[in-house]
Amino acid sequence: MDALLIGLILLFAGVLYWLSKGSSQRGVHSNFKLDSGRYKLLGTDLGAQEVGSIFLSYAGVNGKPDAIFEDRKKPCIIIGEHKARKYKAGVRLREYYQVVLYMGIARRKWPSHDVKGLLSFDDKVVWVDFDSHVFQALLDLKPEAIEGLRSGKASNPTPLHRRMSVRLPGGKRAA
Amino acid sequence: MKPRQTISVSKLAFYAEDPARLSAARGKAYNAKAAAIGETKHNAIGRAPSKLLYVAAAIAAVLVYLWVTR
Repeated sequence: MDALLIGLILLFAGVLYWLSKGSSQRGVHSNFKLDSGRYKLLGTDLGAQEVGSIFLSYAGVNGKPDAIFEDRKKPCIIIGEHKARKYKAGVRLREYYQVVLYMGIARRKWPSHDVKGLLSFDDKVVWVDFDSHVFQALLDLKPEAIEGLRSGKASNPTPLHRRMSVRLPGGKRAA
Repeated sequence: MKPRQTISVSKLAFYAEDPARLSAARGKAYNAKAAAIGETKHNAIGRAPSKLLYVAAAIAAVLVYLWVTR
């Protein structure tokens, strides 16, 4: 009788653990306000250790997005980046550039998929459309950026949004 | 030594936003404290529960049961 009850206690603890593991993955979905039934979590660099991160690399530019989801209903990849702050003044340029870079690299990794970007803040999520001109301009900036990091001095201190027109999510033009 | 030819997405994004500032910081975080807080918050999202916690709780439950029924 004792052995049976002890076994039941251990089984109950195991079931509880298994259930909470599933809810941890759903935590990543809820962070991005996505339905876990519709969107499959392919990889994450956030705390969910059960799903590994996905390393994206193209033309010497690389990194791991916070989360990559796949739509179960249509061929669509969603690149998610979480920012540990409130939305307040809106999307920062560097946050937008980061998502555009990941989206551009993901489009090469999943050529038959549509790729969307999603920025999550503590109080809001913002969808990001891909801009091929901005992506190319960022790639073209790579040698200059590497040299700037090496020397400690930017050869051209003009920010990208003053070299070309950049529209932040929501259509607002960066000034 | 061959100079490096790769760059991380985040550093390239920071550079595009403010080339002079990131170059001067040599790619390091502008605010180390804020970066550490952000890292902690990132790691907390969707974190799986500790196995150790469940093992400890199960052992405690077994011990309580044995103590009550002895």
